[in-house]
Amino acid sequence: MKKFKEKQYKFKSLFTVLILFNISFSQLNIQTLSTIRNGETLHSKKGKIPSYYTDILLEYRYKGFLAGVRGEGFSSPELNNQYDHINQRYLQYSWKWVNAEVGNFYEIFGKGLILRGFELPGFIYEDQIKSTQYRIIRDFDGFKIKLNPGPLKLTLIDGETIDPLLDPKDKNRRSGRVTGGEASISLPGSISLGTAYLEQKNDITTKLISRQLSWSADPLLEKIGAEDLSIDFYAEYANDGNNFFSKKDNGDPEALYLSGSMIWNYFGTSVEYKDYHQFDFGINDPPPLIRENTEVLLNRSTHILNAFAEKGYQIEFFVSPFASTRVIANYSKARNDYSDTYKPLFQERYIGVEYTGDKWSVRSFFDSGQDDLVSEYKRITTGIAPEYSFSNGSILGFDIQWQRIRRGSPPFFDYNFTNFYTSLKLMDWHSLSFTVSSERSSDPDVTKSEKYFINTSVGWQPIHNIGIQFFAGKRRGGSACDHGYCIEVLDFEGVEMRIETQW
Amino acid sequence: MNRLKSLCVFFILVFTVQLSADEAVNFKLPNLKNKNIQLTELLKDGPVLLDFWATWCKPCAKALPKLNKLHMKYLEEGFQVIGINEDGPRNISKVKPFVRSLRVNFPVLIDGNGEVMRKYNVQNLPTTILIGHDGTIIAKYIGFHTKDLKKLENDIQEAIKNYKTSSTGNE
Repeated sequence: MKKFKEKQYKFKSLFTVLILFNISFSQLNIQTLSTIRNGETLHSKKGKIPSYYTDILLEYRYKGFLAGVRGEGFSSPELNNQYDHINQRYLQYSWKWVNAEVGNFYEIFGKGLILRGFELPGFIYEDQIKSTQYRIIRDFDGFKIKLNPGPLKLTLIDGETIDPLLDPKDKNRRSGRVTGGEASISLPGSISLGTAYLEQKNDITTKLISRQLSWSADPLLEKIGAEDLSIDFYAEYANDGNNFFSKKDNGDPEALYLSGSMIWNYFGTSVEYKDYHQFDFGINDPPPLIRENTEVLLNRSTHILNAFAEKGYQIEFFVSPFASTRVIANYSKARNDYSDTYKPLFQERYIGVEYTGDKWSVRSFFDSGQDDLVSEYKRITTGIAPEYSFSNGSILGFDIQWQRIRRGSPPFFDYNFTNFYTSLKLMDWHSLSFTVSSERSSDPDVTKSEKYFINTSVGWQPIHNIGIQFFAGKRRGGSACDHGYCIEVLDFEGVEMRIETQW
Repeated sequence: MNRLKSLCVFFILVFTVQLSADEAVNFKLPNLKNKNIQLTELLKDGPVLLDFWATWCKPCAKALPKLNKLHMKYLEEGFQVIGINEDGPRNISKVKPFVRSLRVNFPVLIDGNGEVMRKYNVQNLPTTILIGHDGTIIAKYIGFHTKDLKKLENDIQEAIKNYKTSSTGNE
């Protein structure tokens, strides 16, 4: 405990020095994210444990030059798993249409079918097995050169890859390498053509190639006087780099992604199609074509893409009859082709209505789904969230959601259960926000008897670059989607303080 | 932790040698018609408010119509709001319909892999950054709070005033 306190003291001193320096020298950017908690996670047999996590990003910018370093650390006086490490350091230089980066970098080719590096801003992952916490950062460590003269775009990369779900102490975290490039050209008529090629080296070498086409009909529609109409199309096909087309029967990797949208006045639709086969390489991130719901119960009931064998589509419609009202309808369908006899199906129908007035705003939704992979054969979720805005800028909001799920694999098991969520929020009261949430679940996978998750949180933003969040109570875990990435979050019971600063 | 601390201190000592205001970083991103737009070009017309948002972000949907009102109100005075969409490759086809459904008139650019978001150290959505015509960052608002709109509007008016003064001076 003494060692822990010493570390905390030293960190505070360093932090104060950094703030003081940065007040005077604004070319330096500093970002910090820290959590201090005392509590227990689900399945933990260690009881309540205090722990401390921090992430610091320092960046210096001078004209086209940027240097950055990022470190993170975790410690707990009762667990022998503390670590601290530098997880990113980079130099970047931009001049006109040239951009060069050395060190850690991110890159995406096309829509991410063959390559996508990313980070989840503000998200701290909790590793249940190792009882530790760290950021999810999937970057590459090497170099990147990007040239963008006029309509041409050329990118070359080479770097070590990372498995972001391995904890920072794991020596196998950076074990692979990727080398490749992408070239694209914008042609007259709002047409864009591109191609990308890369080699991924682990124990074996995988070659991948993708071709992209995007087209917008808008300039043409404008010419013929149909300004109210808008049409777009995008197509990407990727496969094994040794062949022009893959043969699924040989088990070759292959991925096809198509998307389009059409808008007419205040009515619009978007359509997407996917067909992925043996296409998960740990460095790519094909679009999942599943609606990313922000409602608490729906966000947890998400479908996780399996790019080894998944085919499906998504259609979304919107209509906005008045400026204050929107209606959104979505249908998503995906089938995993695991074998001739096992082809689990996911499908979801969503309809949401939103009204935003000067004082009142209301969001409501109804969702019906099925996800064979998690044995959920029927899932109905509905909710309503009214909000009232006071003249001083404060907002009082109430959120109520109800879900009924039939889970089964007859004749082995077959049962129904419900989840019921409510929350009451007072936001922007001076610089404070208060929330009280509760959830009742009769899910036997969570608990043997009906269980309650009740918590309260207070947010304080004294100035724009400091945010403090205090949480107390019990938080339910499960799948959670954040910034387009879905991950398993653990239950937590205890108190937690989260501090975010930007200077 | 020692290595981390040493690096922090080294970094500060070596690099913080120059006093200057925060300068906006230039970028080039495609708009919804797939045409590349550069920040430096936009700033020639006056101050710019960058709004980082995503379709799945609830407060962003609340902020967009309010920012659109500011865009329309001050457009003729050289000010414009520029939306920077952060949906990534996942919801990209939904961005255009989403924008239209909220009746947003200002230009929206696609930050395909969050490159510009990182350049501006944006960690939370929505984040709005007001940039003066000279490329200086005037204000940064994290999150959307109705009570901030008044201050934001004052900042915009001040930025427009500076722009007009500078344009008159140049003439």
